[in-house]
Amino acid sequence: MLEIKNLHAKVGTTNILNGLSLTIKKGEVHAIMGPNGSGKSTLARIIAGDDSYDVTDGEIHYKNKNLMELSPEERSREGIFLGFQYPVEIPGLNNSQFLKAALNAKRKYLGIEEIDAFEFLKMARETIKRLEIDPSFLNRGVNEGFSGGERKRNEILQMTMLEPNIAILDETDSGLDIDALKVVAKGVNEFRNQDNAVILVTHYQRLLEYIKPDKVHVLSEGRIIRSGDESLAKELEKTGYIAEKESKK
Amino acid sequence: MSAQISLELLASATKKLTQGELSETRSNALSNLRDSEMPSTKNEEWQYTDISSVFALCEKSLHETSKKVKSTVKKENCIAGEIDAHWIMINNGTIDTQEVKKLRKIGVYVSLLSKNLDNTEVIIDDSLSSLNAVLMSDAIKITISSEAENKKPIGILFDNDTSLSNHASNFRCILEVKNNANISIIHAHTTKINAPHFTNSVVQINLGKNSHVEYLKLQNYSPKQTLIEKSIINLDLNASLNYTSVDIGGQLTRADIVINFNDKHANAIINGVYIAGQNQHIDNHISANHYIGSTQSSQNFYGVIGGNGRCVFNGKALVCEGAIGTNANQYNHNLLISENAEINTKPELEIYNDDVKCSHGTTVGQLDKNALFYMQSRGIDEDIAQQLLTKTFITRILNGIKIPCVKNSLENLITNKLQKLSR
Repeated sequence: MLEIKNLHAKVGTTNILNGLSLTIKKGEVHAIMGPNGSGKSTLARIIAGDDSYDVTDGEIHYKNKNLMELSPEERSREGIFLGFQYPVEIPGLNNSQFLKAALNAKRKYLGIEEIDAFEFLKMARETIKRLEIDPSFLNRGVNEGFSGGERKRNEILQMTMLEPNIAILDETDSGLDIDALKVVAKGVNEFRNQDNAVILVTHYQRLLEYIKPDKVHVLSEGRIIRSGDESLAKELEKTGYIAEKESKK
Repeated sequence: MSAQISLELLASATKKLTQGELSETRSNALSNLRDSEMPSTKNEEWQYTDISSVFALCEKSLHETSKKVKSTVKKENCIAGEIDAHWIMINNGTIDTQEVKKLRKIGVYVSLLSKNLDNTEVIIDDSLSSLNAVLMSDAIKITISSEAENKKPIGILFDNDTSLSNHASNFRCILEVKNNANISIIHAHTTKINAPHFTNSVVQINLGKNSHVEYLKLQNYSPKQTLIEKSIINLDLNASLNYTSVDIGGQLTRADIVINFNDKHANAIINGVYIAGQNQHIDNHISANHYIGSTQSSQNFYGVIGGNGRCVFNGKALVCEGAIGTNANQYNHNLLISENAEINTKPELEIYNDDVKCSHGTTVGQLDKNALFYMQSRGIDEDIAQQLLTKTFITRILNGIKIPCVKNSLENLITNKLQKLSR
């Protein structure tokens, strides 16, 4: 579904990704772990189309398309979803208007009839109930005055409504209390199926107790230095990233 | 003396206008013009707004004042057709008498000033208001009685149809809001004709004791037109005003809004939105004069500027000696959405008193790239995302307009304007 080959990227003169390769297949959940500054968020944002990074080499293919040729909005409509580490606050723009605009942009692109206000509200209310999210979310400004936990829940709500093929969740667990973490994990577990894929970008093993990954990768200095199964995350929790990095030198 | 407009032409033009009750006013105004000069960029208050080009239009129109220009604008074809209000259409000092009769029934009295001068002060405190008094064919006086019904707003449409080749208009509207009255006013400047035109407008508003006015000024002129408007608003004891100006059209717009707090517990919210695109210039000068204490003013202006648009904001609060307990603030926020957009902004406080609460601030910024990317990453096109973000920037001002029937028309006008801006 997604194939990244030898990806190099920088911001200004600072190299961040240094030859990263990764293959993700349908039905898989991959966890990308690594210390601060290892390039995890950069990878997530490059896949979503953030042009503040300069991709100097490498390729990303998604559903046999060259992803780098698509704009961020085209990537989204093609089924790529990025759950932001710091979801942006847009005061004055109603959450429900925002979600409806996003949903209809995708439907239009796919040649499906746009959803009307009534159908949208019905769908949104059902999703909110299922995810145990406060119904007032819909009437509030996008992330306006939301706590850290509410923002992350809002990302899960958007993901669920947009039904992407690949969801990249960038440190969705950071700043969450245990109840919020469970809500987020519930959302991801309900979302995952044999036809989609999830990339979990995280520092900690904690999230992986609730969402079982198929593969775990350790990112350091802009490349994957080790890959394994769920047990790798547990091992890292004990040994830490420095020991892992030292052993690879 | 005015260097820009021939006084001989002005004198001869004013002679041709209806004299009677207004002749003394005209003669005083003409004397004022002999002793004063038209504003130029040499004056601090006008340093960013050059209006020299409009005087040629004014002179051109002086040769035409003998022509009586009749409106060709039909109510149904302009904003008056979209907003459910009691519309008073004003065209070169003529008003629709049928509508005037209807208004009487709801306690709103409309007349030509020349027919109902009755000690009304015609303000001529600078060269432009003097020019207005010299050349206005008449003024409209609207009296809102204490018992006036406020089910629908009163709409005042300054119709600037230039199809009969009139190059300048001088409108004056005097609004008397009696004690305890509560009314909503929509004051619209709009036209569908795109010919160079200069409108010099003066609006005098007196709010009586305990009165409340919701006021929306909407300027949506076509791209070759100039509007210079001075609004002088007097607030009596416990009067309150919620004023919003929306400027989206025209080539050159200058608005001077002067609010005089003449008695205690008067308060005014003076909000504004301006959206300027290619070749547009919008200048807002606001003065809140707190002559008496325990009064409150709040100025909040939000601007969106694209293309080579140029805007000016000067919000001032004057707190006079003895005006204890004044609360005044001015805020101006600007979004520049193109490289060549320009804003000259200056919030000002002039305080001659202790024990007051005053604040001011201004910001100039660009669209948040991270927010744009966030929206794009949800499938929303970049230009739509830009429009939505821009709209949210001014939403708080639009939400402050408490005249529900204008909501849809205003939304449409602003959405269309923002679409043009992002192209």
